[in-house]
Formats: sequence, C-alpha cells, structure tokens
Amino acid sequence: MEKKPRIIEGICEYCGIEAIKCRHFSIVQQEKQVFGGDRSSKEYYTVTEKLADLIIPHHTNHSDLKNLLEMIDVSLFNIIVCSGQSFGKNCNKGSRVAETDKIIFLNDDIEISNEQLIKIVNALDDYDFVGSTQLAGIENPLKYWGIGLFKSSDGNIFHSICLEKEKTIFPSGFLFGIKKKVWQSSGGFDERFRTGNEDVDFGLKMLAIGAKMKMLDLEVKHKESQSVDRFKYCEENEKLIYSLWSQATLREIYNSYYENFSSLPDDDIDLRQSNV
Amino acid sequence: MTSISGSPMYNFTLALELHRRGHSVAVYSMFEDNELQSELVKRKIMTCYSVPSGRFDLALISQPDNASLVEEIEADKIINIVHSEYDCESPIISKKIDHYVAIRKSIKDHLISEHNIPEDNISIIYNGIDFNRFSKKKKKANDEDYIKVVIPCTLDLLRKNFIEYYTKKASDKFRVFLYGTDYGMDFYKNEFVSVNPAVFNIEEKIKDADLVAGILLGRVNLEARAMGIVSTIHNPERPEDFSYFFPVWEDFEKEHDIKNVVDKLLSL
Repeated sequence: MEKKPRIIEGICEYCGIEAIKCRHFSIVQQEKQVFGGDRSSKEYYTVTEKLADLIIPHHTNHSDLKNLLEMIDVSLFNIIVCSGQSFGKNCNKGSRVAETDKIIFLNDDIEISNEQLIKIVNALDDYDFVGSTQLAGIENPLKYWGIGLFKSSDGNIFHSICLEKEKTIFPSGFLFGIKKKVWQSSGGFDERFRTGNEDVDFGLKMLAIGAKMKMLDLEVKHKESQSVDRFKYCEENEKLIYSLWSQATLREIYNSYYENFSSLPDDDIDLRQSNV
Repeated sequence: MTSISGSPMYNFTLALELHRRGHSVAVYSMFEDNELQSELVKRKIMTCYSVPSGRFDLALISQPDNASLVEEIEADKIINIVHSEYDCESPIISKKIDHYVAIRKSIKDHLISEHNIPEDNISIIYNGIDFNRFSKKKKKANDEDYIKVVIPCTLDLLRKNFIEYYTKKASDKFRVFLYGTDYGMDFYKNEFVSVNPAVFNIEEKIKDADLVAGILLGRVNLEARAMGIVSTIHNPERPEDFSYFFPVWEDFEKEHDIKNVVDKLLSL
C-alpha cells in the first residue's frame, strides 16, 4: 500500500518536526508503481528531479491542508509546511530550507492541480515573480486577480485586491512563485506584519527592484483566508504598510503604472474589506 | 522509416550519430517520402530498399518484420534491438543474433521470462536523444492563459483510453494538442482538443508545452526531458495510473545522450 504523507496538528507523524521539511515525501515517490502490479525492476528514472519547493504556511484547518497535500505529486515538489507563527514568519522559515531555485508559496486552503503548479514553475523560467487568479469563497466564488493601487476620494492611494486584470499590479500572497535568488535578495517578508499586508509590502518591493512579473489566469480555488489572527491586527498592519510606503511613493507608483490607462482605478472600498 | 514514430526515430538518430563520427552507414527500411528519408539523403547516408550488399562490421536490427534480414545480411556482429514488450515488437530468435539490446529494464525482464533469452546476452541501452535538437535552450514558457498539454502519439486503439483521459478533461483552461498518425480511431473530442498529423519537427510543438503526455516510456518522454519539460508516463490500459517523468538531469544525460548510447552500442 502506498504510504501517504500526513500532517497531524502541524507535525509530521513520521519525523515529528513542527516546521516540516518532510523527507518522507520523497520516499513515497521512489516506491510508486508506474505500471501497476508488483514490478521488481526499478529503472533509473524513479528518482525525479524536483521542480520547486512548495512552502505552505499552515494555520488551523488540518483537513484543508490534508486535502491540499493529497493533490500534490510529491515526486515533483519538495513540500515544506511551516506552522505556529505568523504568515510571514512561517513563509520565511520555510524558504530558508528550500533546496531548488524556484519557490512557490501557497495557502493551505486552496485546491490546485499539479499541472497548474507546473505552469507556475515554467513561467518562472522567464519571470521573477509569478501569481495567479483565484476563485475565492465556497458559495458564489468571486474571481480575483492580484493587488492594485486605488485612489480614494480624498486623493490618498490605498491598496486592494482586484477584480480586474487591468488594475492588478502584482500578485497577492495566497499563491505565488518566485525565483529563490530574488526572494533571498529581497529579504523575504517583513516579519513586523502580523498576518496581513506582508504580500502588499513584498509586491511593492518587487516593483521597486524592477522584478519581472507575470499574472497567470489559472483560477485556483481558494476557500477563504483562514490564517489565525488574520483580522485581529488589521489596523496595526495598515499603519505599518503606510509608514513604510509614503503616500508620495505610492502616488508615484500609481501614476507610473496607470498612466497608460484612460480610466484610472477608482474607489473600491468593499473589496478592501473582503475576506481574501 | 514509413512513419515518424518511436522505432524509426531511434534508428534515424542512431544513423545520424554514427555518420557524424565518420562511420559508413547504410539504413535499410521501407522508406516513405518523408523527412526521415530526406534528412538521411541530405546527409548522404545510404538509404536501401533492399538488403544492402557487402560485408558490414555491425548490423543493428529492429523489429521482427526484419527477421529475414538477419539471415541475408553479411555482418561480423548482429545486434537485435527490442523496443517494447508488445508482441508486434518481439525479439528475433536466431543463432545469428550475437546480442540483444533492450531499451529499458522491463523489456530485458520480459526477454528473459517470455523468450528465454539468457540474461548475459541482453544489455539495457536506453533510447538515444540528440541533445542538440532537443535542447533546453529551445524551451519557451507558454504565455497563454491555459495549460497546454501536448500528446505526440499514434491515434490508435492501443492509446484510446490514454487519449480520452486527456481529451475528456479538455477545457478553456486545459487544452490538448495531439500530433500523430490517425488510424481512424474514434475518440472523444471537444473544441479544446486540437488534432494534428504527425510532424517531424516535434520539438517546435512541445517547446512551449506545460506538459507532454505519453504511454510507457516513449521517446516523447525523453525528448520532453531533454528540453526541460515535464511529461507523464501512463499505463495505456489504465491511464489513471501514471507517473511524472522528470529524472535527475545527470542520470538522464548519462543514459540518453545519443553520444553515450552509441558508445555503449559500439562497445558490445
């Protein structure tokens, strides 16, 4: 019987480590029967080169994580599950043990196919920073692109998740791939954020360094944001992002990004409050 | 050399590499007017429609259809290359065969258990790939908003379940491109399935694929790996049984670079 990796309470049941880089996943691949039946002869190619490290910041919902792990072919990807800390800290911790030159961060409550992951990996051949659209919510899911900048009625620039491709400036944090060298040179997520706005700050940093970005329209299913304390520190996180990125800087980005569009993005406060 | 499929491509690649090394090469086959023939002719490699005369240092013979050739050809050494476990690709059993080459380990096991060929008389030498032609440098990310699956395969009943495994999944976000000789097999298609004839320059068709799919361990898997593209190996009867093929590069290169394959064949 094929051994399936399982995560219990954020701890790998085989190795018992909380911040997991579970080597057992590779063993599953090597034991996999390609043609079925009892195949005594192993061929050289049963050991597969890993395409990328998948880093999954894991929070509370174990069944979602288990569902996600069931979807991923462990022969193609290193899987790193990190739990117990904020979103940013978990991601940073996971990235430090990544072995390949491509990293994909993915929330633990998404549904994604191996083909979709491969497409992100392939896009990372040509781009530094790759995101995807999402279908968010269970009933009547909405399609979101990435994060954009918007101008409020008082002239201030603010960030929000976008419903439209044209308004998207960079990927949101629910799922994105990045070249490891770009991630490392950026310093990763700013750990002062407390599970909120890390991705906005990171996207702005990517813009600042001129990273080559790509948004893929993969329509990945995303249940909803389930991160512990996701909405507890909203005010604190908002203060921090706007202290790090002044209105003058944001306005400059806004103007330079949208100058080619005849109709500029407008207020979209409802989206800003969404659970995505 | 009548079709652009696995065994003809094997011998074509082999002939080109032997020729490149300065060997005098003659290819005997039922030729069609296709790129395999024209490429051989262009390189001044002898193409023969009847058993070539004269004595050869080495005869490399594929497929049981050529059993009579074993008896007719004059060669110091005759090697029979076996490309699969299927009956239509059975080994040639003759005392004139000096050695057998199985292109994967499971075929060697089959030759021992089903054809009683002594283990010492069989070498595993995997399919050879021209790494200049199938190169990672030619790979290009598919910028379209769909997953592009390319399936280079003959459209026949053996592959029907496998083909439909993909065509039934085809959608706006998951498009399937088939390239192969069509034997009139009826299978499920929708608007997101593209059916095309077999092409010689398959590298141009797979270079921006997100995934290449095939059955068993075919040349398509090897060509895709050489270009840095992930592929799948399916069980043709139960296509839901599959494995991704993306072996460690160093291992792959050692086993499949046509230069290494020819070295091994010449050392037998």
